[in-house]
Order: sequence, then structure tokens, then C-alpha cells
Amino acid sequence: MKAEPTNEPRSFKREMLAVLPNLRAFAISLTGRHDKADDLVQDTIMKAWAKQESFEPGTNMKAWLFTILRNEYYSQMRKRGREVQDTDGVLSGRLSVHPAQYGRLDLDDFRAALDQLPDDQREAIILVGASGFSYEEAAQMCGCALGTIKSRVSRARLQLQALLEVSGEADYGPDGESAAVLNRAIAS
Amino acid sequence: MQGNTPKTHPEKVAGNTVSRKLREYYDSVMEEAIPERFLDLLEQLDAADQAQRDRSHRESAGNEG
Repeated sequence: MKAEPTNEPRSFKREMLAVLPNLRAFAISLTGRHDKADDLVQDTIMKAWAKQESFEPGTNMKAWLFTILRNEYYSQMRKRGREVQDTDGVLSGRLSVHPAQYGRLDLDDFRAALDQLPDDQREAIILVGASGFSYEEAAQMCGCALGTIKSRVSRARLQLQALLEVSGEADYGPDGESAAVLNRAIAS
Repeated sequence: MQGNTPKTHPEKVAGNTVSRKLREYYDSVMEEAIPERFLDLLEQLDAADQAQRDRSHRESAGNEG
């Protein structure tokens, strides 16, 4: 039998290219730094390419690449000896000095607020709120229960609200009021 | 955003604002051009694979002949 001029790897490359802008936006949102994010994207491309046989054609290339990237992110953080922050992290600690690279003050503020979230909450709200994944997909990608992802997203949302001081009425304090809102959010 | 929307729960209004800002931020990053290094890298990986395939193709053709 005559061998097909294998165009499968080419379409693999094409599919990767199509996901790259979103993948890179995820990396930048996650790390908060373009240089770190681009290193992460590069590592992800190399890893994905090396194990492209394990990708089942027709399945979700985007979810596959995002999963490789987030696993790489956490494994690099562990190697650097930095612990992944727990979900009960308070609204403090992180550096909040950022270059004004978005040209718009409110986006810089948003970036600064995003950086203050614990990693798992930041990841959850980005995946579900911006990258376009469902809660189910995000749970699968992060290797945790659906309820865990849902609670991370709602906690992230509340923390961002508090940090950005957006509310329909008075500001929420970080403790009492947002806890009450959180309870309502989880109950609903 | 409108100042007062009495029928809407405050936390819902706030939640919508956060969601909108998140998407705005994310979209602004997505609109950035993909760095050349990634396009080059993919070309190189692809070319290396292609060379590998050509080599093994020649070898198997040689075995047959």
C-alpha cells in the first residue's frame, strides 16, 4: 500500500497554532509576567510535541495543551521550592507592583488584583471565566472535583470584588461581609 | 455601569463587573501578536519530524529493494 503523504503532523501543528493565542493568554494571566509566561508556553510546545502520539485526534486540543501548561507551571513552582498557596489564603502577601503595560489603568488594577489570588483560585476563574472552559472541563484539567472548582471560582470572584471594591452598594470588608456573600453564592 | 439598579442584587452586579473585567483583561492579552520564537519553534519541530519521516521512509524503501 502506498504511504499517504503524512499530513497528520501538519494538522497537529496547525491545531497548536490555532490554540496559541489563548494558551499564551492563559499563561500570562496565570503567571502575571510575560517573560515567565513565554518560557512556560515554550516548554509546553516542546512537551506537547514530544508526546503528540498521546493526543487523540478529534479530542479537545485546547484542553490538552492547557493541561500540559498548568501541570508544567505547578511542577516548576514546586521545583523552585515555592509552595502552592492554599485556598484559604488571605488578601495579602503578593507584590502588587506592576508595569503599566496595558495602557489602561483599570486593567492594571485588575491584573494587580488577580495576582493577589491564591494560585488555584486564579487558575479556576481564568479557565472558566475567560479561557472558555466549562466547570466540568476545568475540574478535569485541574484533577479535582466539580464542586471544588465551583467553590474556587466563587471565592475568586468574591476576592476580586473586594479587591477592586466593586459592589452594588457599600464596600465589602474582606471578612464578615464577603463571608456572608460567599455563603449566599454557594447556596445559590 | 449604572449607579442604581434597585431590582438587581448588589453582589450580582459586582460579580458581573468582575467577569467583564476579567474578559477584557484576557482579551487584551489574546490580541497581542504571537512571538516569532513560537512560530519558529513549531517550524523547526515540524521540519525535524519531516526529516525523520523521510529518513525512515528511505530506509524501508531500501529494505524492500
